[in-house]
Amino acid sequence: MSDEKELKIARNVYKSLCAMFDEKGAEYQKDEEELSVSLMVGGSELPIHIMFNVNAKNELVGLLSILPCVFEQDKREACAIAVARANECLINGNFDFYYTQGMVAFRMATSFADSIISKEVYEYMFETALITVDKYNAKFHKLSKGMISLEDFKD
Amino acid sequence: MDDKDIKQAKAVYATLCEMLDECNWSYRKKEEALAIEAEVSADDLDIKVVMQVDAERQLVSIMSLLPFTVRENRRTAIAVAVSVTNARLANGSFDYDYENGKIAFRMMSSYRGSLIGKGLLKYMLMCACSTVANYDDKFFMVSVSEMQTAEIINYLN
Repeated sequence: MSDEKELKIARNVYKSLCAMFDEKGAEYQKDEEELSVSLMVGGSELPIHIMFNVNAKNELVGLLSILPCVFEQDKREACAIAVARANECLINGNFDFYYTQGMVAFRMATSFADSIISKEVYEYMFETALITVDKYNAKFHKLSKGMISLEDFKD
Repeated sequence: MDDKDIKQAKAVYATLCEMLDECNWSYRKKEEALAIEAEVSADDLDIKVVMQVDAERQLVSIMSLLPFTVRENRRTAIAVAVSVTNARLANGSFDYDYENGKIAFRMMSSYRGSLIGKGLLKYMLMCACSTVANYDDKFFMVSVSEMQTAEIINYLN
């Protein structure tokens, strides 16, 4: 597929993504050059930052939510185990742990190769991310601060 | 779940089987479960994959269980290795059961309200197979070695 065709398809996907947020009446920041969207949502205990990006070359819509916690060196192995335990419980999406930075992020993606993806899918991605991040945000934060143990995280 | 959901799931499953037939893949159909099982030879290992259409959740999934169990004294090392690896992937992730030492690759795609083409299902299959082929021997090496965290990160780089 030519670069121009790829970009045209990706721009249509991006329009559909923005339309989903517009219909929700959400306040969000657009970066049309990068085909990305970001917004901050209030969670039950901590705020949730969500970023969507449309990748024309890979025909992929990616969602990333970086959690507002940083794990110091001495807690990083525990975090790697906690992330594995959290991921085991997820149906879709996963937590990534950037070991050398001590940061945790939730990630989800959808390919739009050879397909027409509806706004419902982006809405599903957004809502799944919000529910999942909200469920684990405070747990990861408390684990990073030593307020709970790895055993407490499991419960 | 209504008839429309089941009809759509069956249509996605039919598209999946058509794609596999067109690519001359050898696979087993599990029609009741809207699933297929296949084995792929890559380098020196056989990768087993299960693709399934979940009518209730409107998801297509691909799962591949790695063919070894991490021994108990290397479970934390593999938790680090899986974390470092997942953070590099654009789509899909390795799930790691710390309690039993099993690792599986998982990728999902929602099809709600959408028209899913064979290209997307082929992408899922290819992406899963290449990711598993890239990392399963690395995870195995970490699991049987004495590598410490810094060495694991360097090794996976």
